[in-house]
Amino acid sequence: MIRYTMFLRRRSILHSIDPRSKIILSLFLFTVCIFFNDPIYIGIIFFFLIISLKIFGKIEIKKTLSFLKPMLPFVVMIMLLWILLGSEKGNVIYQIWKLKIKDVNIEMAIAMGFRVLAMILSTFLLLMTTEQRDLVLALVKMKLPYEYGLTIAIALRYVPTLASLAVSITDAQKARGLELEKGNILEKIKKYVPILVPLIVKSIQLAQELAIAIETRAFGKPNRTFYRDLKFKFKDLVFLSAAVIFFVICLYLRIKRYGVLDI
Amino acid sequence: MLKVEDLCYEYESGFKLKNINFEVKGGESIGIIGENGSGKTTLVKNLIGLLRPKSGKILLNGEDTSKMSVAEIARTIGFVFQNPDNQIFASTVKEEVSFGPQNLKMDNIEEIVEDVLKKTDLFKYKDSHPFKLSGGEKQRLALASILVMNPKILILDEPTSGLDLRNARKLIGIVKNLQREGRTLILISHDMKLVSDLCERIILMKSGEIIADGGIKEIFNDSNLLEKTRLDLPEIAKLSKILEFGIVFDPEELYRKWRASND
Repeated sequence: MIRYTMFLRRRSILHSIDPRSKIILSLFLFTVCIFFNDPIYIGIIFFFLIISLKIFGKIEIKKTLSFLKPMLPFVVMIMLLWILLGSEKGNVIYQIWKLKIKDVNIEMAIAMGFRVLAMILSTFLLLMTTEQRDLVLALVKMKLPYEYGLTIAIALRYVPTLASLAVSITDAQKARGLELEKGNILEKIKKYVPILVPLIVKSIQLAQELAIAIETRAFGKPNRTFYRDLKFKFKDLVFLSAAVIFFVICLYLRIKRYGVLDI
Repeated sequence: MLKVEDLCYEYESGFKLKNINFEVKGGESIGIIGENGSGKTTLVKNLIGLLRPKSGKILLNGEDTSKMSVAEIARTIGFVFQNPDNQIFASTVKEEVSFGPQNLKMDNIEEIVEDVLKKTDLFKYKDSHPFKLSGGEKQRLALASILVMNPKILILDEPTSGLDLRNARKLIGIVKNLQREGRTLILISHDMKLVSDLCERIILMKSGEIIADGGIKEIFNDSNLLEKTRLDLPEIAKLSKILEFGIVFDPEELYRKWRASND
């Protein structure tokens, strides 16, 4: 099943906040994840994010986890790399052939796992509680040229379209006897040619049609007006101040080297 | 030849196929009709193994298809997808058509491909680039690339949509030749004229269920059923019904009946 957007419609504080404040909060959270490398600190940020999505965004924890699930292979890969190729310091707790597994590296692997997950969550927080058109509108209101805003909107809009196109093409080729599962790696790669060629051709066709559709609706005429507008209200100010205070506290902790492990 | 027993299927979105039961005998021509979203394509995807039934059985020549791969099923059931652009990837028509037989590791590919290209009136284009073909020719290419695997059962999904009269007639002519060869045909279409042209039996679907299965004239005569499914009969059938001659598809036959009743 292909979802058209990550947005989940709920009536919550997070949903009602001005998307511009949410973009800033998202950036703050993302940056804070880089500040610390102590698994406890990053773990706290991670769980804080999941719980605040539940409390302030009314998004069920189960739902959040289901969005994180597809990212798991990526996270596991990062953790394995840290365990196998991390720091030279620390005590060896297990050794297979030349691979030494060290305690500090396990600690770092956990921290990095949480860091990636928390970074993903901080962007998901924005995407799950903000409609795409509001997101683009916010970027445009933040002085991003409209052309770029539209490009982002189109890119977001066409991810699921292209994904479902890829599924249709794969189905059509499977009906012609294509078996993707069989064969060694080289053969498998070769088997994707009959899927990639129609996909690329169709994407170009789609782009051309879209370009014409946009042109016919007077794209590029200067001084455009907006049907929807954003209003920065008092509660947005409160929200933004809270985000700034949170960021400053984290920055202070970082400067005082709390939550930072030396390896 | 093909037997479906208590087939149920459910999408994540909640759409269901419920208790589908029918049997197809060798050489039969069946039209599967119903409104958009009534489950026609879902049913067919289950038949060819792109989707797997949640419960129930599909027996192909007495063998349960749940243990067969899509490629194995493709040897017996050929499914021509609606959009030919979704499968064209090769740089010559000949290469495109030989993709299926190569996947199924068939013998004498050269010979079979040439034979099929002649049958579908594409032989003169055998060395041209498939993207240079017109809409009608592309549709025939899609048919050829399935036909080349010599399936006993052929499933066509809206084969004439978007074709002009000349190309549509050409395609219908090819399909009629295949029927004469004794191939079993399953046709999905909204075009009742086409269905009445090619099929003797109809399976009528609504909201994921088969609500009628029987001879075409029998079903077209059932006013209750027609109203329930908003089916639009071919004009000639409407006229013959008004004149109380039952369902007649052939103008000359209608004329003869009319003359006979006036004498």
